[in-house]
Formats: sequence, structure tokens, C-alpha cells
Amino acid sequence: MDRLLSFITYSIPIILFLVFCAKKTTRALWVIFFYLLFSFAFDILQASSSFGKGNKHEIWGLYTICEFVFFACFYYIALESPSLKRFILIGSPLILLFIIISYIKSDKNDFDSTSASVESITLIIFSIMYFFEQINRPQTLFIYSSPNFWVVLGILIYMSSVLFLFIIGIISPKQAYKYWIINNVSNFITNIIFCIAFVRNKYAFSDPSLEKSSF
Amino acid sequence: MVLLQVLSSDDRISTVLFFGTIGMLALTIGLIVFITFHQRKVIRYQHQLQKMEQDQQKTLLNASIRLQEEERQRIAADLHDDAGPLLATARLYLNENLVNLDKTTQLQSIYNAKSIIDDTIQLIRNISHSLMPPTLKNFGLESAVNDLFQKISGSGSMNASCRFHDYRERLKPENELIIFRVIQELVNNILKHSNASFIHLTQNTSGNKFFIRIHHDGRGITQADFEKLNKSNVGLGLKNIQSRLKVLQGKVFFEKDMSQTYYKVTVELAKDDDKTD
Repeated sequence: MDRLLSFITYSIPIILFLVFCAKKTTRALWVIFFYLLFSFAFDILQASSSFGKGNKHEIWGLYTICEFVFFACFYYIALESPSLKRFILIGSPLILLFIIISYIKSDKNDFDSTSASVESITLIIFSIMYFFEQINRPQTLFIYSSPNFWVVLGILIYMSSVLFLFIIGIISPKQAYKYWIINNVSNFITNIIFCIAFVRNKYAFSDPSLEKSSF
Repeated sequence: MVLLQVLSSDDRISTVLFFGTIGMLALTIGLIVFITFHQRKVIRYQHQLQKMEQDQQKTLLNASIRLQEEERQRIAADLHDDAGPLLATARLYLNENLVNLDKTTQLQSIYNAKSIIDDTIQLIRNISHSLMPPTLKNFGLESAVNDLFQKISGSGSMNASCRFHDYRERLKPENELIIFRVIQELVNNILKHSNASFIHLTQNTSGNKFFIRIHHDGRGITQADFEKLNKSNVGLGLKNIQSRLKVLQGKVFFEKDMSQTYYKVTVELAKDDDKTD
């Protein structure tokens, strides 16, 4: 049932992207599209292959690394301030290095909660940076008219929801698995919010008064 | 982390997880709501400012158009009421019957016609000078203002003087014209409304600012009066002054002198990029 729900929640935003965004969209949304494709493929690999079933913790660790790369790229493209971009350019590789080292040193029989927690905290900080930049920029459009706002909102909701789950996972992985439904539900909500982002993209590009830079 | 390790029972972990997750979600939602409402407030405020500026522009434009029409009417009236009858009279003297009259009468008619035509030329010259004084174009702002003040003094109605302390280099012709019109308008207002017995203009520069100060001893207005008149439908001349100064990014300030005996009008302009090429 989990798998089915996961397939559906990844398929819908992918289809919506192809319908509303394939012809005209920003690079930031393309990154999210490829992330969704990657997640979809990852889920299929995990569900269908014997390697996936047998080495799920190892694969989840790799998934965390790839997810962080996708989201870091998204934030780098979405942010406009040069100083914030520089911060991401310098900070992300360091965090990525930490996550990789943590993954290599982790016990492959359990989910690498340390990497996941660090990733969550980092992406929450990046989201706050994005909103901070949006408040300080002079603009004539409402913040929620931008597709990037919805993507960042989705990422922030997901990371906020699972942060404590991953922190608990460091102390007691068994307890974390007991409440893994939090991760599934958050994932589902995030993908719905990504759908809103892709639908907003259509209106953003069809309104000539909207500037591309406001995305 | 230490706290969590101490709290090892399942229930406590569940509680921490529950409250932690709810807390994080509440913070996230709170942040989004705050940002959304803050931005809406900012945008609403920006729209209000934009609307106020547009209204102001509209008022200034209307005032400018009305003033233009009044000027045209005045010129039309001057030409129709003064130049027209003069030329018509000159024509009467130079009709076809002249050839049938005796030589003395002919000479007298020609002389009268010539005199009337001279008067008409002078009248048209005056109209033309009041529209665009040639002194301004040929000799600059200082000479044009001197001329203007000499004419006022010459009329005998008041004592008008001016002094340019720091005007070695002329400004750009278009800027000189704008400043001259502003001075003309201010002086006209003083002549019409203040009942002043003297009016004195001084020009200074200070740093990169160009100042024109006009003192008079009549009934003047303060800055508050100026702003009130500007917002109302009257005060066309004042609106005209403001719109002209806007072109030069200048300011005008009305006040009573510190000694409380004179009214002072100060026109302040940025001097940068003002010099003639």
C-alpha cells in the first residue's frame, strides 16, 4: 500500500510537469522534475529488485546524498542574492562531504539518521534564507504567485516534519521505523505542493506582467 | 542528545517525537503566514504610494494644461484687442482714396499710419519678449532677471532689485529658461497678491547647490499654505512652479524670515550636470 501510494504521489507531479511546464519553465523547476524522476526510479528499484530489497539502508543513504545535491542545486538557482548564492556554493560541498563521510562510516544495517538529520537542518536553513531574501526584495507580485515559493514550502514542510524523526533515529532506529509513516505522509504532502508549483508555473508564464526574475 | 539518551522509554520518545514534529510544523506554518501577510501589507502600501503619485502627476498635468490655455487666451486677447484695432486703423489711413487727396493730407495719413504701425511693432515685440525674452537666450539668466526687475522698478509701483553673487558660468539654456519662468511666476504672484513695497532677489551657490532667494515685505505664504494650495484646485501658478522644479529636481520653500519682517522664498537646485556644454 505504501509502495502504491508512493508511485502515485511521484507520478502525479511528473505528469503535471510534463503538461504545464515542459514547454516553458525555469531551470529551478527542471531540477525538481529530475529529482522527482530520480525518486520515482529509486522507489521502483527498491520495490522491484532483490538488491533494492536486500540493501535498503544502503540505498536510502545514497538517496539522502542525491536528494541533498538536487535540493542544493535548486536553492542555488532559486536564490538571486550573490552573497546567499556564495554561501550555498561554499556550504553545500562541506555539508555534502560530511554526509558522504557519515554514510561511509555508518552501519549499513540501519538507516543513516545522522546524514538525514544534517540534511534536514541544512535544507531548513536554506529555505529560511530564501524567504528572507523574498521579504527584502522589492516586488509587485505576491510571494505565492511564484512557483519557487511552493517548491521551497514543500521542502520546508517535509524537512520540518521528519527532522525529529531522524534525530530519534540516531538514538533508537527501531523507534524511528515505528513512526516511519510520518515520512510517508510528509512525502505525500510535499509532492502535492510540488504539483501546485507546476500548475502555478503555467500561470506565471502566461501573464506577461510577471517577470521571470520574480520566480 | 543527552536528554534523549536519558529518556529511554518508548513513551517518552513518542512524546518527544510528537511534540517536536508538531512544534516544527507550527513554526513552519507560522513563518509562512507571517511572510505572506507581511508581503501583502508591503505591496498594498506600494500600490497606495503609486496611486498617490499618479494622482499628483495628474493634478500637475492638469494645472500645466490649464496654464497653457490661459496663456494662449491672454496672447489671443492681446493680439485681438490691441494689435488688431491698431492695424485696422493703419489700414484706414492707407486706403485707395489716398491718391485722390492733396499732398499734405496724403503725407499726414502716411505719417499717422507709420506711427500706428510703429506702435503695433512695439506691442508685438512686447508680447514676444514676455513670451521669450531674447536677453535670456543671448545674455543669460542674470541679465534676463536684471531686465525683469528693472522693468518692475521702472513702473514705479515697487522697489525691485536683484544680485547674483556666484553666476560666473551659465547654466544649460533649457534650465535657465525653467529657472527664469519660476522666478517670473514667483514675482508675478508677489506683484498680484502681496502688496509689497520692495522685492529683492539674491543668487548663491553652496557646495553643489544653486540657490535663488526672494525677499519681500508684503503678505506672503508659508510652506504649509503652499502645500495646502497645491492640493486644492486653485494655486495654478504654484502648481506650475512645482512641476517646473520637478524637471530640475529642485525644491521651493516658503517661509517668514527669522526677523519676522520679511517673507522669503528659497529655490534650491542641484548644480551637477547643470553647466552649459
